[in-house]
Amino acid sequence: MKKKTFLLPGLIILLISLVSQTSFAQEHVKQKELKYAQVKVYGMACPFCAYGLEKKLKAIDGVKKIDIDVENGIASLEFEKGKVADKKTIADAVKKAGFTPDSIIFMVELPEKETKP
Amino acid sequence: MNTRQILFFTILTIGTGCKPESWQYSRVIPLENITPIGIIRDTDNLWVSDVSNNRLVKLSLTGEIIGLYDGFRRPMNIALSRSDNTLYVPEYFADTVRIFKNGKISTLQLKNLPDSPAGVAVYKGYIAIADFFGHRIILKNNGDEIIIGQKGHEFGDLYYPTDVAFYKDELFVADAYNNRVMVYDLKGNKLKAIGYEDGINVATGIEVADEWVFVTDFHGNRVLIYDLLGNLQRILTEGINEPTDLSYSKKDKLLYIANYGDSSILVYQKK
Repeated sequence: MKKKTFLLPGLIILLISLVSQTSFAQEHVKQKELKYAQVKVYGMACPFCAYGLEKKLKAIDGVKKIDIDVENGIASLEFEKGKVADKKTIADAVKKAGFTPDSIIFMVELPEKETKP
Repeated sequence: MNTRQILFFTILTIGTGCKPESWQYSRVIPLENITPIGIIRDTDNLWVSDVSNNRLVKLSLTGEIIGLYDGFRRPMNIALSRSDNTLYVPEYFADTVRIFKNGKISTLQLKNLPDSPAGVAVYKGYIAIADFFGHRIILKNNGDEIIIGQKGHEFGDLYYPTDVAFYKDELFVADAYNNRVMVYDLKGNKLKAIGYEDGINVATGIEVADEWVFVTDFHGNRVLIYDLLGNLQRILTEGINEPTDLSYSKKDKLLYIANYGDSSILVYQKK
C-alpha cells in the first residue's frame, strides 16, 4: 500500500514530463521548420503589380524578406523565427494586391529558383 | 504596325495632302544595374527612378551616370517642375510623394493619403497623384484637394491608375488596367477617353507635350501617339520592351522611353 502511494505520483510526474517534452519538441520542430512560404499568383506581370504585391505581403506581421519572381508568378516570403503567418493572412494580403492566390506552401528552406531558358 | 494600320496612315496622308510626321528610332542607352520605371528629361539631364535599388539616377543625355540619390522607397513615375527645377517622386512603398530639390528631400503634405502612389504631375500650382490601389487621382491645389475617379470600368472610372500628365488645363491619366487614357478638367469633370479601342495591354505611362499624347503599352511593347482629340497618329514598336514611362523634349524633338523589360532608355526623334 505504501509502495503504491509512492508509485502513483511518480507515474503522474513522468507522464506530465513526457507530454510536455513531446509538445515542446513538436513546437520546437514547428518553429524551426516553418520559416518560408511560397505563393503562386496568376496574372502578375507589370512592375506596379509586382511591387504592389510586395508591399501588401510586407505588411504581414513577421515577414522578414520578400522575393517576387515575376517571370514565374511566385512570391517567396521569409518569416522571423516563430512568426510564420497562416494561410488566410497571406491569401488576404494577396487579394488586397488585386490578385487571386493559388497555392500557398510552407517550407523549411526555399528551393532553387527556376529559370526559364 | 500591321498592314491595316499602314494602309490607314497612307490613306490619311494622301487624303489630307500633309507630309507625315515621322518618328525615327535614334538610339538606345543601356542601363547597368538600374531598373528604370519613371523617366524625365530636364534641360541637360535625364532622371530615372531606379525602382529595385530605391534611388534616383541622374544621367547625361548620352547616358553617363552623373549622380545616384538613395533613400527613396520604390520610386515610380516621377515629375519635374520646370519653373523651379524640382523633382516630385512618388514612393510606392511609403505612400508619400517626396520633393527633391538641390539635393534635399522633403515630403509633400497631403490630406488624402494614397495607397501606393504610382505617378505624379505638376502644373501651375496643381499636383496630381495617381493613387494605384485607391483607384483615383488626388488633385492638390495649394491647400485644397479633390478626388477624381473611382474604382470601376465605366467612363470616368479608374482601375489601377499608374501615371498622370497635365496639358492646357486638362488632366490625362494612364488608366492602366482599363487599358486607356482618361481625360478630366481641373475640376474633375470627365472629358474623354483615349485609346480604349486600340488594344492597349496595360497603359503604364503618359506624357502630353507639343500637341501629342504619348502612351506606353506595357505588354504590347509599343508607344502609341495620339493627337489631343484622341486620334491615333503613330505606333512605335522598334526596340520597345515593356515600356513604363516616357518624356518628350520639345527643344530637340526627342522622345525618351523607359524600357523596363531590358533596362534601357530608348530615344526616338521626330523628323
